[in-house]
Amino acid sequence: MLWRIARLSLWHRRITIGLIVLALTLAFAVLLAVEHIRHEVRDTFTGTVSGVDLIVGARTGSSNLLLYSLFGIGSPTRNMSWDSVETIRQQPAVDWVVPLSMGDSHRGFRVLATSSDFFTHFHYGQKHPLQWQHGQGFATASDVVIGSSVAQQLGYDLGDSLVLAHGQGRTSFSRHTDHPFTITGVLQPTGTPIDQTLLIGLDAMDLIHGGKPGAHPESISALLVGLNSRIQTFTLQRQINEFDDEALLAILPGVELSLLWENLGWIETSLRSIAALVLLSSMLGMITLLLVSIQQRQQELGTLRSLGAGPWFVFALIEIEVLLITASALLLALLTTQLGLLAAGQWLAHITGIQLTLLKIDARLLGWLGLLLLISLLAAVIPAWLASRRSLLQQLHSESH
Amino acid sequence: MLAIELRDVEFHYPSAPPEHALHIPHWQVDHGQRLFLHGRSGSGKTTLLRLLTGMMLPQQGQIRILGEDIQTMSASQRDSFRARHIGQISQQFYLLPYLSVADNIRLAAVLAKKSSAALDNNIYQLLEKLDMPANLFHQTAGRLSQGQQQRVAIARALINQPPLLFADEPTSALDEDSAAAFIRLLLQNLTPDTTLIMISHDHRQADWFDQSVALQDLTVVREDI
Repeated sequence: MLWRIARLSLWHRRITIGLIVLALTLAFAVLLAVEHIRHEVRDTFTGTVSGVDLIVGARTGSSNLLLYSLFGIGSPTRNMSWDSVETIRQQPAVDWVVPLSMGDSHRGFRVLATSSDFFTHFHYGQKHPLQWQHGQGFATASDVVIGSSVAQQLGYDLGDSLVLAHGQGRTSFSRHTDHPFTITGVLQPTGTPIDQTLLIGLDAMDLIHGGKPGAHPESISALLVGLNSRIQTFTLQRQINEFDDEALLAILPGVELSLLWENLGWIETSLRSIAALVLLSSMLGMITLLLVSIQQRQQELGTLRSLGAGPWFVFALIEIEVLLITASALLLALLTTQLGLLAAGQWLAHITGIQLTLLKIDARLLGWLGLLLLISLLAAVIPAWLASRRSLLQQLHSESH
Repeated sequence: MLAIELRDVEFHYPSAPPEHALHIPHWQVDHGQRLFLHGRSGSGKTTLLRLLTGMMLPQQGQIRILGEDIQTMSASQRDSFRARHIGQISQQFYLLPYLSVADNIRLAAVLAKKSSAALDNNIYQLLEKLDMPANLFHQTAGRLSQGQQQRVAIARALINQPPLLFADEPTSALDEDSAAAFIRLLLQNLTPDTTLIMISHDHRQADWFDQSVALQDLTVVREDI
């Protein structure tokens, strides 16, 4: 009966209650979206690469090396020589190396030139290997492999031809029209910048920039290095950083990703602060509206009390109403956030390289929903207590003279 | 056995002037009595009913209802006692406008913890006895006419078959014929052992009742309050 009274009473005041639900929906949606984006960004960052022990490039800032080699953000101050690549490859501690060269693009998507070993050694997230949606890796200097977002957004499929452009801008006046590529493979989505990348062979990159067929490039942008044993990581890193022939920098991608994430912590804190303020103002709004509505409901609550409903009945009624209001707002907020992620996800992925997945009903999300529900119920304690204390007296007072 | 007994009861609202104080040296009402209580406006009739229902407590004196001293009860015990033993009808009926006719009546039974499998059947039978059309049983109370609301208010007051029924000016907004019809309906549906106290300022209605009492005859003026 209590639930029925709460439900019907809310419906009876649906315009006022609708406004409360709307305000809470927006606050919860902002909070859920911020929290989700924060996790997605962190997961994307920390899961961009795994199984790579060192990234080597020409000496620059470690963040710069990390950003241009893994995220395609920025560019190297200069390249590292192929001789250095060979020297590192021959180190006893080194198991494998994968050279990376960049600088070209296709309709706003970056092009990464690498060796076919890339598809074997590059892992992401929890050591997930790259997998094929269609086709296979590049075999000739005219083959190109595309990431899942490139395929989806540009509508490309196996066998399609495309032309690369010099530079990384969306619009380029220098296109390599004399060397068209044919798509031989499409990768499965990874949630990393690889999804927004076109991959070609190093020889192909060299060829379209005037090199000879079959020759290796004179220099590359960066080198991914895998070691026989991780114990040797710091030794080799020191050796490379003290390399006599060329000024090089070796970084540990896992450590650098964590440091970079910590440097971006102020963004995370700001986002959470904004979300908390939005939540706080909505809670205050809800309390105010509840107090006003309780003032207007003295007759209704007084009727319940005169029929024998105790103060706890009235208290429980207000709390159940808040529970229903909050639950409705949370459901609407989930829906709003999912729609927002669907609508803005592609756009965000294209401009930031961060793949936003939809909200998943997991322990973390349920924890957040529970916490928001609890905060709302606690916020309603004061109006509920006042209503339970005042309802009968107020009604009697209004009739007494 | 007495249904109501008051001894040296004294009550005044903290903010009200002293002349509004109520002092009843002694008053008792027998079981099954139908009593008409009248008095001028502002004389304290409604205040007396609130004291009898335990909604308010006197500053002094003793009130025994159905043999129970209500001042010794806790607030929640008084709420429970009121729900189980006292039916009330007031001038404005105080129905919950968003609940259906049946739910308004059911609520009184639920709060009195007298909900049972036969409750729905009892509600429908009671409404039929009160000439309530069946198609209105599930209509929301806010959409009923005044006459229909009166019937629902009577049904709600009677559903728990309370030994005490208080009606506070239920006919004040009605014309003479409608008021007579209301009282007739109310009296027809009372069980013989139900004690009824109806408050009104209209002396003409006194003929329907076993006894008529003027509130000023119960009270004394206290100069020192």
